[in-house]
Amino acid sequence: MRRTPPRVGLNLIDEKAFRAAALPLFEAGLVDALEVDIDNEWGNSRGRVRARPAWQTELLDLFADEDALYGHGVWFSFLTARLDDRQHRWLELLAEECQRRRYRHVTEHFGWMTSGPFIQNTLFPLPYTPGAVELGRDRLCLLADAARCPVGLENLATTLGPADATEQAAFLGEILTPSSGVLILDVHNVWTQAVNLGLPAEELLLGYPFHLVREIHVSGGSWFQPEHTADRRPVRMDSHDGAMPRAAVLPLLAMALARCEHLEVVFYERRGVLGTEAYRETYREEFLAVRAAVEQAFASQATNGATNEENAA
Amino acid sequence: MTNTSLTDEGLAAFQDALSELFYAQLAPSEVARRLATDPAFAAHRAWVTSFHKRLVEAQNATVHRWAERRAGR
Repeated sequence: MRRTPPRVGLNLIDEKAFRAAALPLFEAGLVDALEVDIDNEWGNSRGRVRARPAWQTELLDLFADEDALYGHGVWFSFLTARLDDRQHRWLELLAEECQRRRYRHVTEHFGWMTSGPFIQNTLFPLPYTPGAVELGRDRLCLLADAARCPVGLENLATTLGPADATEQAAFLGEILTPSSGVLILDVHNVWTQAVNLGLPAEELLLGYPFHLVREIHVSGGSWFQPEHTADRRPVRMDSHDGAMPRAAVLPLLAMALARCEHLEVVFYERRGVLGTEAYRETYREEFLAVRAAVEQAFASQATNGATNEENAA
Repeated sequence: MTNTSLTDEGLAAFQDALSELFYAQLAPSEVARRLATDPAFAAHRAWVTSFHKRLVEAQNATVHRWAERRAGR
Protein backbone atom coordinates (compact mmCIF):
# COMPACT_ATOMS: atom_id res chain seq x y z
CA MET A 1 0.00 0.00 0.00
CA ARG A 2 1.39 3.39 -0.92
CA ARG A 3 1.52 5.94 1.85
CA THR A 4 0.61 9.59 1.56
CA PRO A 5 3.75 11.74 1.82
CA PRO A 6 3.84 13.72 5.07
CA ARG A 7 3.59 17.46 5.24
CA VAL A 8 6.85 19.30 5.75
CA GLY A 9 6.74 22.35 7.99
CA LEU A 10 8.47 24.80 10.23
CA ASN A 11 8.49 25.42 13.94
CA LEU A 12 7.50 29.05 14.52
CA ILE A 13 10.31 31.01 16.14
CA ASP A 14 9.25 33.87 18.39
CA GLU A 15 11.52 36.51 16.89
CA LYS A 16 11.33 38.99 14.06
CA ALA A 17 14.26 37.44 12.21
CA PHE A 18 12.11 34.35 11.68
CA ARG A 19 9.87 36.39 9.37
CA ALA A 20 12.79 37.38 7.19
CA ALA A 21 14.26 33.89 7.24
CA ALA A 22 11.07 31.99 6.52
CA LEU A 23 9.13 34.40 4.30
CA PRO A 24 10.66 33.15 1.02
CA LEU A 25 9.71 29.61 1.99
CA PHE A 26 6.11 30.58 2.78
CA GLU A 27 5.87 32.64 -0.41
CA ALA A 28 7.11 29.71 -2.48
CA GLY A 29 4.41 27.50 -0.99
CA LEU A 30 6.97 25.15 0.52
CA VAL A 31 5.70 25.22 4.11
CA ASP A 32 2.84 22.74 4.43
CA ALA A 33 2.37 22.99 8.20
CA LEU A 34 3.29 25.10 11.19
CA GLU A 35 4.20 24.03 14.70
CA VAL A 36 4.06 26.52 17.53
CA ASP A 37 5.28 26.47 21.12
CA ILE A 38 1.70 26.58 22.29
CA ASP A 39 2.53 27.83 25.79
CA ASN A 40 4.85 30.60 24.66
CA GLU A 41 2.40 33.24 25.87
CA TRP A 42 1.82 31.84 29.36
CA GLY A 43 4.24 29.03 30.04
CA ASN A 44 7.30 30.57 31.58
CA SER A 45 7.78 30.80 35.28
CA ARG A 46 6.99 34.41 35.89
CA GLY A 47 3.34 33.97 35.11
CA ARG A 48 3.23 36.97 32.83
CA VAL A 49 1.08 36.51 29.77
CA ARG A 50 2.93 37.88 26.77
CA ALA A 51 0.63 38.59 23.87
CA ARG A 52 1.86 37.36 20.53
CA PRO A 53 2.56 40.00 17.88
CA ALA A 54 -0.04 40.29 15.15
CA TRP A 55 2.15 38.66 12.50
CA GLN A 56 2.27 35.51 14.61
CA THR A 57 -1.44 35.32 15.39
CA GLU A 58 -2.24 35.84 11.70
CA LEU A 59 0.08 33.00 10.77
CA LEU A 60 -1.39 30.72 13.44
CA ASP A 61 -4.93 31.48 12.35
CA LEU A 62 -4.05 30.90 8.71
CA PHE A 63 -2.59 27.44 9.37
CA ALA A 64 -5.37 26.58 11.83
CA ASP A 65 -7.92 27.35 9.12
CA GLU A 66 -6.02 24.98 6.83
CA ASP A 67 -6.03 22.29 9.57
CA ALA A 68 -2.25 22.39 9.46
CA LEU A 69 -1.42 23.83 12.89
CA TYR A 70 0.35 21.73 15.54
CA GLY A 71 0.85 22.70 19.20
CA HIS A 72 3.98 21.84 21.14
CA GLY A 73 4.25 22.47 24.87
CA VAL A 74 7.50 23.46 26.52
CA TRP A 75 6.79 24.37 30.13
CA PHE A 76 4.24 21.91 31.56
CA SER A 77 6.77 19.43 33.03
CA PHE A 78 4.93 16.29 32.03
CA LEU A 79 6.28 13.74 34.52
CA THR A 80 6.40 15.87 37.66
CA ALA A 81 5.18 13.45 40.32
CA ARG A 82 3.25 16.05 42.33
CA LEU A 83 1.58 18.69 40.17
CA ASP A 84 1.45 22.22 41.54
CA ASP A 85 -0.79 25.24 41.00
CA ARG A 86 1.37 26.47 38.11
CA GLN A 87 0.77 23.24 36.22
CA HIS A 88 -2.96 23.15 36.88
CA ARG A 89 -3.13 26.74 35.59
CA TRP A 90 -1.07 25.68 32.56
CA LEU A 91 -3.72 23.04 31.76
CA GLU A 92 -6.51 25.62 32.07
CA LEU A 93 -4.70 27.95 29.67
CA LEU A 94 -4.05 25.09 27.26
CA ALA A 95 -7.79 24.38 27.23
CA GLU A 96 -8.51 28.03 26.44
CA GLU A 97 -5.98 28.09 23.60
CA CYS A 98 -7.35 24.89 22.09
CA GLN A 99 -10.85 26.35 22.14
CA ARG A 100 -9.50 29.45 20.39
CA ARG A 101 -7.71 27.62 17.54
CA ARG A 102 -7.90 24.22 15.95
CA TYR A 103 -4.77 22.10 16.46
CA ARG A 104 -4.12 18.80 14.67
CA HIS A 105 -2.51 17.55 17.85
CA VAL A 106 -0.79 18.88 20.97
CA THR A 107 2.40 17.43 22.38
CA GLU A 108 4.78 17.90 25.29
CA HIS A 109 8.29 16.74 26.10
CA PHE A 110 8.96 13.42 27.77
CA GLY A 111 10.63 13.87 31.14
CA TRP A 112 10.13 16.40 33.91
CA MET A 113 11.32 19.91 34.60
CA THR A 114 9.94 21.29 37.86
CA SER A 115 9.46 19.83 41.32
CA GLY A 116 9.01 21.18 44.84
CA PRO A 117 9.99 24.85 45.07
CA PHE A 118 11.11 25.06 41.43
CA ILE A 119 8.85 26.82 38.97
CA GLN A 120 11.21 26.62 36.03
CA ASN A 121 14.11 24.36 35.17
CA THR A 122 15.64 22.29 32.42
CA LEU A 123 14.39 18.83 31.45
CA PHE A 124 15.38 15.75 33.44
CA PRO A 125 14.91 12.09 32.57
CA LEU A 126 13.52 9.70 35.18
CA PRO A 127 13.86 5.99 35.96
CA TYR A 128 11.66 3.59 33.98
CA THR A 129 9.32 2.02 36.55
CA PRO A 130 5.68 0.86 36.57
CA GLY A 131 4.84 3.85 38.76
CA ALA A 132 6.35 6.28 36.27
CA VAL A 133 4.40 4.66 33.43
CA GLU A 134 1.18 5.02 35.44
CA LEU A 135 2.04 8.66 36.10
CA GLY A 136 2.64 9.22 32.39
CA ARG A 137 -0.71 7.74 31.43
CA ASP A 138 -2.41 9.98 33.99
CA ARG A 139 -0.67 13.08 32.63
CA LEU A 140 -1.59 12.15 29.08
CA CYS A 141 -5.26 12.01 30.17
CA LEU A 142 -4.90 15.49 31.70
CA LEU A 143 -3.47 16.82 28.44
CA ALA A 144 -6.24 15.20 26.42
CA ASP A 145 -8.96 16.54 28.74
CA ALA A 146 -7.57 20.04 28.32
CA ALA A 147 -6.72 20.01 24.62
CA ARG A 148 -9.73 18.01 23.33
CA CYS A 149 -7.62 16.78 20.43
CA PRO A 150 -4.99 14.05 20.00
CA VAL A 151 -2.07 14.50 22.40
CA GLY A 152 1.35 12.98 22.81
CA LEU A 153 5.03 13.23 23.64
CA GLU A 154 8.40 13.93 22.07
CA ASN A 155 11.38 11.73 22.87
CA LEU A 156 13.87 13.40 25.16
CA ALA A 157 17.44 14.33 24.22
CA THR A 158 18.69 14.73 27.77
CA THR A 159 20.49 11.74 29.17
CA LEU A 160 22.43 11.31 32.37
CA GLY A 161 23.12 7.60 32.07
CA PRO A 162 22.71 4.75 29.56
CA ALA A 163 19.20 3.71 30.61
CA ASP A 164 17.84 7.12 29.62
CA ALA A 165 18.64 6.22 26.03
CA THR A 166 18.26 2.46 25.93
CA GLU A 167 14.93 2.31 27.79
CA GLN A 168 13.26 5.46 26.51
CA ALA A 169 11.57 3.91 23.48
CA ALA A 170 9.88 1.20 25.55
CA PHE A 171 9.03 3.72 28.30
CA LEU A 172 7.32 6.02 25.79
CA GLY A 173 5.58 3.10 24.12
CA GLU A 174 4.08 1.93 27.42
CA ILE A 175 2.75 5.40 28.21
CA LEU A 176 1.36 6.15 24.76
CA THR A 177 0.03 2.82 23.53
CA PRO A 178 -3.14 2.42 25.66
CA SER A 179 -4.56 5.73 24.41
CA SER A 180 -2.90 5.65 20.97
CA GLY A 181 -1.03 8.79 21.91
CA VAL A 182 1.02 10.69 19.38
CA LEU A 183 4.76 10.10 19.36
CA ILE A 184 7.03 12.82 18.02
CA LEU A 185 10.25 11.17 16.97
CA ASP A 186 13.04 13.75 17.10
CA VAL A 187 15.90 12.21 15.15
CA HIS A 188 18.42 14.79 16.39
CA ASN A 189 17.48 13.84 19.95
CA VAL A 190 18.12 10.17 19.18
CA TRP A 191 21.51 11.07 17.68
CA THR A 192 22.31 13.33 20.65
CA GLN A 193 21.76 10.51 23.12
CA ALA A 194 23.76 8.12 20.97
CA VAL A 195 26.72 10.48 20.64
CA ASN A 196 26.77 11.34 24.33
CA LEU A 197 26.72 7.72 25.43
CA GLY A 198 28.77 6.16 22.63
CA LEU A 199 25.84 4.08 21.40
CA PRO A 200 24.86 3.32 17.78
CA ALA A 201 22.16 5.83 16.79
CA GLU A 202 20.58 3.45 14.27
CA GLU A 203 20.03 0.81 16.95
CA LEU A 204 18.44 3.34 19.29
CA LEU A 205 16.18 4.57 16.51
CA LEU A 206 15.06 1.08 15.54
CA GLY A 207 13.77 0.48 19.06
CA TYR A 208 11.07 3.14 18.79
CA PRO A 209 7.40 2.22 18.33
CA PHE A 210 7.12 3.56 14.77
CA HIS A 211 3.38 2.80 14.58
CA LEU A 212 2.79 5.63 17.09
CA VAL A 213 4.85 8.23 15.23
CA ARG A 214 2.71 10.98 13.70
CA GLU A 215 5.38 13.64 13.64
CA ILE A 216 9.14 13.84 13.16
CA HIS A 217 11.42 16.65 14.31
CA VAL A 218 14.71 17.45 12.63
CA SER A 219 16.97 20.07 14.17
CA GLY A 220 20.48 21.10 15.07
CA GLY A 221 22.22 21.88 18.31
CA SER A 222 25.53 22.75 19.86
CA TRP A 223 28.33 21.28 21.97
CA PHE A 224 29.10 21.69 25.67
CA GLN A 225 32.71 21.32 26.71
CA PRO A 226 33.15 19.68 30.14
CA GLU A 227 35.95 21.17 32.22
CA HIS A 228 35.63 19.43 35.58
CA THR A 229 35.70 15.76 34.64
CA ALA A 230 38.46 13.40 33.57
CA ASP A 231 36.48 12.59 30.42
CA ARG A 232 36.52 15.83 28.43
CA ARG A 233 34.64 14.63 25.36
CA PRO A 234 32.15 17.32 24.29
CA VAL A 235 28.51 16.78 25.17
CA ARG A 236 25.93 17.29 22.44
CA MET A 237 23.10 19.62 23.46
CA ASP A 238 19.64 19.76 21.90
CA SER A 239 19.77 23.54 21.90
CA HIS A 240 18.44 24.09 18.35
CA ASP A 241 20.89 26.95 18.02
CA GLY A 242 23.40 25.39 15.65
CA ALA A 243 23.49 23.86 12.23
CA MET A 244 21.83 20.53 11.57
CA PRO A 245 24.49 17.77 11.39
CA ARG A 246 23.24 16.58 8.03
CA ALA A 247 25.54 13.60 7.61
CA ALA A 248 24.31 12.16 10.90
CA VAL A 249 20.70 13.25 11.02
CA LEU A 250 19.43 12.87 7.45
CA PRO A 251 20.17 9.10 7.30
CA LEU A 252 18.22 8.71 10.56
CA LEU A 253 15.40 10.71 9.00
CA ALA A 254 15.41 8.40 5.97
CA MET A 255 15.27 5.34 8.24
CA ALA A 256 12.32 6.77 10.11
CA LEU A 257 10.49 7.85 6.96
CA ALA A 258 10.65 4.30 5.65
CA ARG A 259 9.13 2.89 8.83
CA CYS A 260 6.52 5.34 10.16
CA GLU A 261 3.30 4.14 8.53
CA HIS A 262 1.15 6.82 10.15
CA LEU A 263 3.51 9.76 9.76
CA GLU A 264 1.62 13.00 9.17
CA VAL A 265 4.20 15.77 9.33
CA VAL A 266 7.94 16.51 9.51
CA PHE A 267 9.07 19.72 11.19
CA TYR A 268 12.41 21.47 10.93
CA GLU A 269 13.24 23.24 14.19
CA ARG A 270 15.67 26.06 14.81
CA ARG A 271 15.91 28.72 17.50
CA GLY A 272 17.50 32.12 17.53
CA VAL A 273 20.70 33.11 15.75
CA LEU A 274 18.91 34.14 12.57
CA GLY A 275 20.18 37.69 12.86
CA THR A 276 22.38 37.70 9.78
CA GLU A 277 21.52 36.90 6.18
CA ALA A 278 24.09 34.10 6.20
CA TYR A 279 22.30 32.40 9.11
CA ARG A 280 18.94 32.93 7.44
CA GLU A 281 20.26 31.38 4.23
CA THR A 282 21.50 28.36 6.19
CA TYR A 283 18.09 28.10 7.84
CA ARG A 284 16.36 27.94 4.45
CA GLU A 285 18.91 25.50 3.05
CA GLU A 286 18.41 23.15 5.97
CA PHE A 287 14.65 23.25 5.62
CA LEU A 288 14.99 22.52 1.89
CA ALA A 289 17.35 19.63 2.67
CA VAL A 290 14.75 18.13 4.99
CA ARG A 291 12.04 18.67 2.39
CA ALA A 292 14.21 17.04 -0.28
CA ALA A 293 14.86 14.04 1.97
CA VAL A 294 11.13 13.55 2.46
CA GLU A 295 10.40 13.92 -1.26
CA GLN A 296 13.17 11.50 -2.15
CA ALA A 297 11.92 8.91 0.32
CA PHE A 298 8.42 9.01 -1.10
CA ALA A 299 9.59 9.18 -4.72
CA SER A 300 11.50 5.95 -4.07
CA GLN A 301 8.38 4.47 -2.56
CA ALA A 302 6.31 5.43 -5.62
CA THR A 303 8.93 3.98 -7.98
CA ASN A 304 9.14 0.75 -6.00
CA GLY A 305 5.36 0.54 -5.84
CA ALA A 306 5.02 0.98 -9.60
CA THR A 307 7.67 -1.68 -10.24
CA ASN A 308 5.90 -4.10 -7.92
CA GLU A 309 2.58 -3.50 -9.66
CA GLU A 310 4.17 -4.10 -13.08
CA ASN A 311 5.73 -7.32 -11.83
CA ALA A 312 2.41 -8.46 -10.37
CA ALA A 313 0.65 -7.77 -13.69
CA MET B 1 -11.67 19.16 32.60
CA THR B 2 -10.40 16.64 35.10
CA ASN B 3 -9.28 18.41 38.27
CA THR B 4 -7.65 15.47 39.99
CA SER B 5 -4.24 14.17 39.13
CA LEU B 6 -2.20 11.21 40.26
CA THR B 7 0.52 11.94 42.80
CA ASP B 8 3.47 9.70 43.55
CA GLU B 9 4.88 11.06 46.80
CA GLY B 10 7.93 8.81 46.73
CA LEU B 11 8.89 9.89 43.24
CA ALA B 12 8.07 13.51 44.11
CA ALA B 13 10.50 13.44 47.04
CA PHE B 14 13.12 11.91 44.74
CA GLN B 15 12.55 14.65 42.14
CA ASP B 16 12.73 17.34 44.83
CA ALA B 17 16.07 15.96 46.01
CA LEU B 18 17.47 15.67 42.48
CA SER B 19 16.38 19.24 41.68
CA GLU B 20 18.12 20.55 44.80
CA LEU B 21 21.26 18.54 44.10
CA PHE B 22 21.71 20.04 40.64
CA TYR B 23 20.66 23.50 41.79
CA ALA B 24 23.54 23.39 44.30
CA GLN B 25 26.01 23.46 41.37
CA LEU B 26 28.44 21.02 42.95
CA ALA B 27 31.43 19.45 41.22
CA PRO B 28 30.45 16.34 39.23
CA SER B 29 32.48 14.13 41.57
CA GLU B 30 30.57 15.47 44.59
CA VAL B 31 27.25 15.00 42.78
CA ALA B 32 28.25 11.38 42.13
CA ARG B 33 29.22 10.88 45.77
CA ARG B 34 25.90 12.19 47.03
CA LEU B 35 23.94 10.16 44.49
CA ALA B 36 25.72 7.07 45.77
CA THR B 37 25.26 7.74 49.49
CA ASP B 38 22.31 10.08 50.19
CA PRO B 39 19.23 8.17 51.43
CA ALA B 40 17.06 10.49 49.32
CA PHE B 41 18.22 8.61 46.22
CA ALA B 42 18.05 5.10 47.67
CA ALA B 43 14.89 4.09 45.79
CA HIS B 44 16.60 4.57 42.43
CA ARG B 45 20.21 4.04 43.43
CA ALA B 46 21.12 1.90 40.43
CA TRP B 47 19.83 4.55 38.05
CA VAL B 48 21.52 7.54 39.68
CA THR B 49 24.85 5.78 40.10
CA SER B 50 24.91 5.07 36.35
CA PHE B 51 25.13 8.80 35.59
CA HIS B 52 28.17 9.87 33.58
CA LYS B 53 30.08 12.72 35.23
CA ARG B 54 30.49 14.73 32.02
CA LEU B 55 26.71 14.50 31.44
CA VAL B 56 26.18 15.64 35.04
CA GLU B 57 28.39 18.65 34.32
CA ALA B 58 26.37 19.48 31.20
CA GLN B 59 23.13 19.15 33.17
CA ASN B 60 24.56 21.40 35.87
CA ALA B 61 25.15 24.05 33.21
CA THR B 62 21.60 23.94 31.86
CA VAL B 63 20.12 23.94 35.37
CA HIS B 64 22.25 27.01 36.15
CA ARG B 65 20.76 28.72 33.10
CA TRP B 66 17.12 27.78 33.57
CA ALA B 67 16.34 26.91 37.19
CA GLU B 68 14.17 29.30 39.13
CA ARG B 69 12.63 28.85 42.56
CA ARG B 70 9.29 30.10 43.76
CA ALA B 71 9.76 33.40 45.59
CA GLY B 72 10.75 32.87 49.21
CA ARG B 73 11.47 29.12 48.84
